[in-house]
Amino acid sequence: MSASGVTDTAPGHLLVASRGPWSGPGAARFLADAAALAETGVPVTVVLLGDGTPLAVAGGTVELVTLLDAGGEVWVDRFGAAQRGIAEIALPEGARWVDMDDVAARLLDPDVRAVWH
Amino acid sequence: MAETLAIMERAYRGALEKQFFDALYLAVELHRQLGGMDLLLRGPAVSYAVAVAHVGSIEVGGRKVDTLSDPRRDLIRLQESGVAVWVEESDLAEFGVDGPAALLPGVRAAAPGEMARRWPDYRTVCFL
Amino acid sequence: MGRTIPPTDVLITLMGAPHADDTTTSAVRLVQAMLRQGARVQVWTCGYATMLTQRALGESKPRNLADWSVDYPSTTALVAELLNAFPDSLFWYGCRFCSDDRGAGEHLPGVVLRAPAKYADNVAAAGKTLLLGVI
Repeated sequence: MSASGVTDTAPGHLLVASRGPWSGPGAARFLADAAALAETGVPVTVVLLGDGTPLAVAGGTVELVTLLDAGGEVWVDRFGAAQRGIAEIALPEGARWVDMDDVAARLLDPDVRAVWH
Repeated sequence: MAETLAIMERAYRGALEKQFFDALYLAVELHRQLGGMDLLLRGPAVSYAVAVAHVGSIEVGGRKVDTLSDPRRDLIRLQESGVAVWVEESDLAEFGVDGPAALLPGVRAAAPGEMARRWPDYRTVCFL
Repeated sequence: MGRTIPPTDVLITLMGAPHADDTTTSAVRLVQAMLRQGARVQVWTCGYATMLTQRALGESKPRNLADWSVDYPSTTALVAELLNAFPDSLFWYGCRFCSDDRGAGEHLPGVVLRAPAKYADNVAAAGKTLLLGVI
């Protein structure tokens, strides 16, 4: 077990955030969950998909920045961003553009667990 | 150790059209089928664990409908089948829950992030 | 005799209702991407998602009065496309209880309706399970 209390074999987590603030407070809570998990040393990747893509606008919401600071990875689906006219924004430091092939490849990694919100 | 953690945040999704077949009924099935389930209630769903709530009946035409969804009854049934239930304590005040004492016996309060840190312990984590 | 569920890498359990947000759109994009990468995928629909594969939807959406000649495929036709393109690696199931509860009627051939009690067999046959949306 590592010093942070996480076992060396802790599985990476792919967390799909498909909802945004206008879906309700659950979207921010999901990102807070992701940050709490990342703080334990577990590898966390949050994918902003669909209504989750605007969370990356203007430097990102407070919860998104907290997640990045906690060591979480943030991916933003370009297709969903393009639908919403935000495919050309500057992403928050540490976030990157992806397409569904990237998400599929990560999901198919047998060592990765996934949760969809 | 349960294999599945289910998180419920959406609540009261249609008492008349769902009646018995709400997400808590589904949870009993999943608990039985998937190697055990733990349940976390957040947001409006925390009130499912309030001991004093009451579900009435409604009149539709000449018919009295007394089979509306009853989340507390369903939650008790879930507990009796072995599901451990938590509520997120940071949501209790917003939904008028007067602290852990107002909850059904056996329901535990979780601090912010407490359950998220346990996600790697489960085979599946899902929103239900 | 019970049906044997072909093993797959992933089980996508589609619970959220169509026509509400981009959950169905994202699910189809994800399934397509996984299949193109050679993965084996199951989809199990619950709730209103069972209606995606109704035969009653036919091949096409109702006519667009503003663009009479364009064909807009129904979700049923699109699921048929997926099943035809990936016959050995995509398996589409629906919850019989939910289908009945929502009056979904007959489904696309190739869609297998199963009792809710059988869901565990589908989960056991998948490397991992992802639940999309809620009923």
